[in-house]
Amino acid sequence: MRKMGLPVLLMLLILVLFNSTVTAEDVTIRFLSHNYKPWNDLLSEQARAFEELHPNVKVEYTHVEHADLNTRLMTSLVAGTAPDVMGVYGPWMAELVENGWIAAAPDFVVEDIMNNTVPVAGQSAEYDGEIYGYIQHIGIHTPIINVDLYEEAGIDVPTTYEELLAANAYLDIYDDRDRLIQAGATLSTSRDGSWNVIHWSTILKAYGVELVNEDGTEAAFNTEVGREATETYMALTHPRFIDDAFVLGRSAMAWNGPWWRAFLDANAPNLNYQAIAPIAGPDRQVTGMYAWFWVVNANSTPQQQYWAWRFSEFLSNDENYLDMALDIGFISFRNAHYEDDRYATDDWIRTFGEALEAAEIYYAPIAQWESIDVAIGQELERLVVGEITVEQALNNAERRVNEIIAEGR
Amino acid sequence: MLAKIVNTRMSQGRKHQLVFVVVGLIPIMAYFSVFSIYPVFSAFRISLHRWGLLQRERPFIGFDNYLWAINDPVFWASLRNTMFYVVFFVGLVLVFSLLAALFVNSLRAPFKELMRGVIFMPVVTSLVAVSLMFVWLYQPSFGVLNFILDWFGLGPFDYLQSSTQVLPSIIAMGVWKSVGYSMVIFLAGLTTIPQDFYEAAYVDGASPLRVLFSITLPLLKPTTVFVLVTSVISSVQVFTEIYIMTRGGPGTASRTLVLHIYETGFQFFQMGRASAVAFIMFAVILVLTLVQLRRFRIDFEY
Repeated sequence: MRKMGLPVLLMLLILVLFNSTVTAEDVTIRFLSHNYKPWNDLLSEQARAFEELHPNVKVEYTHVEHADLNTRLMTSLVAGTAPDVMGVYGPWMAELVENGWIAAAPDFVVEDIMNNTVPVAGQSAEYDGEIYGYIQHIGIHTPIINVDLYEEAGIDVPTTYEELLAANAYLDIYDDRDRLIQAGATLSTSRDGSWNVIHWSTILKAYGVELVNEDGTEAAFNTEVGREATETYMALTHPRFIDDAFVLGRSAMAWNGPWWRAFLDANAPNLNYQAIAPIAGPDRQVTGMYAWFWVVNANSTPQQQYWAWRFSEFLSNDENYLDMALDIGFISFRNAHYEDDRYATDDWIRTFGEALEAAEIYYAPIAQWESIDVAIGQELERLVVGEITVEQALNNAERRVNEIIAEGR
Repeated sequence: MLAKIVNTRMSQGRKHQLVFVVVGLIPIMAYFSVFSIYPVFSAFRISLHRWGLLQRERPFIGFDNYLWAINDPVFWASLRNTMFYVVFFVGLVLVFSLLAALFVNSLRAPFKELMRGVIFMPVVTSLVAVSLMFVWLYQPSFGVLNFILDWFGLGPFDYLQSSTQVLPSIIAMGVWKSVGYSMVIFLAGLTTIPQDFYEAAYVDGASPLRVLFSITLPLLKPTTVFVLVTSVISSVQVFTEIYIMTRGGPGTASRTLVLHIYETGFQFFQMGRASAVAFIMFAVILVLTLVQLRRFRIDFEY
């Protein structure tokens, strides 16, 4: 009995140690994104695949309404109950970094981003020399034309704003009671989703004007050239025409993202449309871009942070992100996909991919961007409905932006 | 002290009654204290601080948030829009619901029940669904309203896309949605007016119009005051339809106080400022209600 005692004790010790090692590696990571059903379904599948690959990791996935996401995230971060992996909108990043709520990416993520993704993927996720996550998806708008309306009018596809304004004027058609029945272009006039700000700032950039100065301390758009660019934006908006005017074949051009193809195919199967390259302005060819990111909670445990990064890497790898690109219509940020036949031979995706080379982040990397976006968006709305002039709109927007920056959020 | 009074002056039965009342009130008073009284005091305290949800420092700043509010043009635009909404919404609801009540009251069964149901139907319809439906009705180029008006050579109107038409358009929808509720209250009020008054008036040869202005309207005054006060309070708090239909736009043309509070608090996380605006709105409602109660004091009985 005494001889048996030592081996039994050793066995017990080994069992306890082994058990505690396993327990230490068992980890649950909470994962949050906004709602978009086909995408949520695919993310759920990918989360299950990750769990199968790493049986010690459990991924709890929740998704909330897009409009509620910011409130949900910020309040949970303040309360210390935020998820481990969070899908966040680019303009929020500065605030998240400044408050120390999100973790800088570890070396294996940084290396992957620097070596295997398009340059904008690293640039857009970088703050003060650190990279804070993978791109979840890129929001990029290019002009989409109604090919039939352009062909009927015998107009070439515009490549510059000068050509676009001429085409727009030609394609604007009024009835005998002076009511617009066809629009040459319908850029967004709504601040819902910041789209009017994105379209306006795209034109500003093409004219060589930035939203705020280099150090982000004051508005920089209220200049003579800024006014000229805003007049161009005005000419290309027709506030009486909704986005659906393009779907209904009543607008010759809309600006939208790659995901729109699924919507157009479902709702306007006979519409002959085509994405074209971003329009070149007097300064440069450019299109406004925003990005969503997968970031990791800096207050999660080291073990959770490690697996959260592994999970982000898994979602963003060549294989899984190709599914995301082909199934959901996201523009890929992985270099490998541009040589993959399944991705590279698709004209629509290729056009957006090429547009990415002319893409610039539309927002400024400052913590108060959310407030600034609303202020500018409101003044643009007042402008397009004729409540105020271009000069008043820019003066008002400048004053409000400077006040917001001066006050802090 | 209370125990002493209870022990010395009350009968056993009264004591049990008092204990029953106190015990019965405890849950509701606790609920009321935690979820109503405490938040009000807490919101007032927050309104005196620079209380950003995302800021670690929340210093006491006195009435600076109130000063910020009254120096903010967006606040004044919101207040102006709210007052515009209140005046026209309440006025139109009062007129149309009273007319609807008089009309329905004059009908015989089964038309009376049928019309009451038809007019009341929008009240039980989801406000979100109604708002989305009206966004389409009001669409300038493709909406049904402009399509119909075009038959008569009218329009097109811009409705929600126009700074001057947006609030009237939302008010029109709100009135359509709310008339049924006030009509039912007026109908209830009409049933409380003794028939003897009408019979006496008709015996004296009074015209229907004279009966309306000399009997019905004066005797409906308590009901009218109730509809007026509740409509004013609810219309000052208008939010859902504005949020869904315009988000306060174009620009700030349909931005109301509650939307201003919501965006300040939950989009920009400036809880101190949002609380200050909420207290200003509370003061506005209080003043409006007191004015109405004083102006329309009910000083008769029948």
